[in-house]
Amino acid sequence: MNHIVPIIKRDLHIYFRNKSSILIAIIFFLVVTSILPIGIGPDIKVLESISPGLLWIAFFLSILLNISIVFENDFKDGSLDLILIESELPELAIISKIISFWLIVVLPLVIFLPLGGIILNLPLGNIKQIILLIIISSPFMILIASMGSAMALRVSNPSLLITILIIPFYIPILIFGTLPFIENDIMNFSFSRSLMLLTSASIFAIVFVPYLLIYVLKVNSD
Amino acid sequence: MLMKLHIQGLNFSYGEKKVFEDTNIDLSADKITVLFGKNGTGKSTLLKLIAGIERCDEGDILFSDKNGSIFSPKGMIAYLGHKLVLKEELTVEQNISFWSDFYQNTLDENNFRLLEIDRLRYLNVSELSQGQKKKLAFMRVLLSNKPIWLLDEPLSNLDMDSTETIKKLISDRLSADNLVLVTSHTKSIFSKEQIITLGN
Repeated sequence: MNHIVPIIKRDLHIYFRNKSSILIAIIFFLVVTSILPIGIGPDIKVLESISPGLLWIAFFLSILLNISIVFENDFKDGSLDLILIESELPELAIISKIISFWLIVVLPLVIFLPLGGIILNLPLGNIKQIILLIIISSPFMILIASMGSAMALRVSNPSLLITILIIPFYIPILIFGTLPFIENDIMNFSFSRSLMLLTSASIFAIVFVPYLLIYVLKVNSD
Repeated sequence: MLMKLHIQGLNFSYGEKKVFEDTNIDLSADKITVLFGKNGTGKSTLLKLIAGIERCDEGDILFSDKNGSIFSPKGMIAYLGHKLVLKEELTVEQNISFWSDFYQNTLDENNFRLLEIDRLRYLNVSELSQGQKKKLAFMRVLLSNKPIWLLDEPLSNLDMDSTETIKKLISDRLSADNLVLVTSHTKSIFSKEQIITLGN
């Protein structure tokens, strides 16, 4: 338990020194949300119908672009061994790294989500609800993406591999995250149902994925 | 009784290359264990197997305490490998501060002076020489205060004075409760040492 704060403090220190991770995620997110409406054309109704999905996809890709930083440096300098061997509870140490990533990459993205929503012409009420769903499902998204990052530790440019590995796991999140905001008379899928399902997914990931991560990291580390 | 390490029927290979075949080793904490051998004989691999970084194909690696009871070494090992666990983008002070928080321990200022770290505190780790990095990495092991030390060539890249200092700090660690394993290309490093020659 006592390892959580020092790891977060140190990771934030390092991330703030190399601000590129924060900036790349934000710039990528804003570029994607700005360019997509131009590609769709002038029909505002088309944009409105697909903008919730576009916002989610822009968010996913911004995370996947940066997820390799979670373990990459620690693997290179041996800190990962320190966490795996010398922590009494390595699962908590791994969660600390996930929290650092959340604070340094996801939180700034969440701050820019309203701007992305406005660019995509989403109603204000929907923007608020999508932000809530994204925050709630972000532990699931990061933990699952971290699994990809752990699997691709020895790959030199892992972003593409991680994206290919992880995208299938994001599809249910994308479906449940967008259903309340598009016309779905057949299923009548409400916001609260989405919130419940995505919360369950995140709780499931928080409870089980750290153990899987430890296993994958042990197999992949030296 | 002393803390002991028992390696029983160890088999390990990297792909087709067998590194250990039915290897049995018993070590006790009364002496510093020096794993001696040529390059590629499995010194570093054995430390990694004991640390749990690598997994045995077959066999057991067991620790017993002063009373002879087998225990799990989880959270009790300090490992110094070829990767030095130093954050190059941070200063020496910031690295030490992280370890102090991580291990919830502080070191006497004298150790900083002995290892000549005191005058480097505000430099970035990237500015240090390999020898200085090695000494800083050794500080982490001291700070960890763990009962089992696994040190992979802790004396490489060091000048004569620093070699003597680290040898003394390792020797001071010797007690019934502390097990120290060191890999080396040379014998007769410590006054109280047991040598395990690998590659025979």
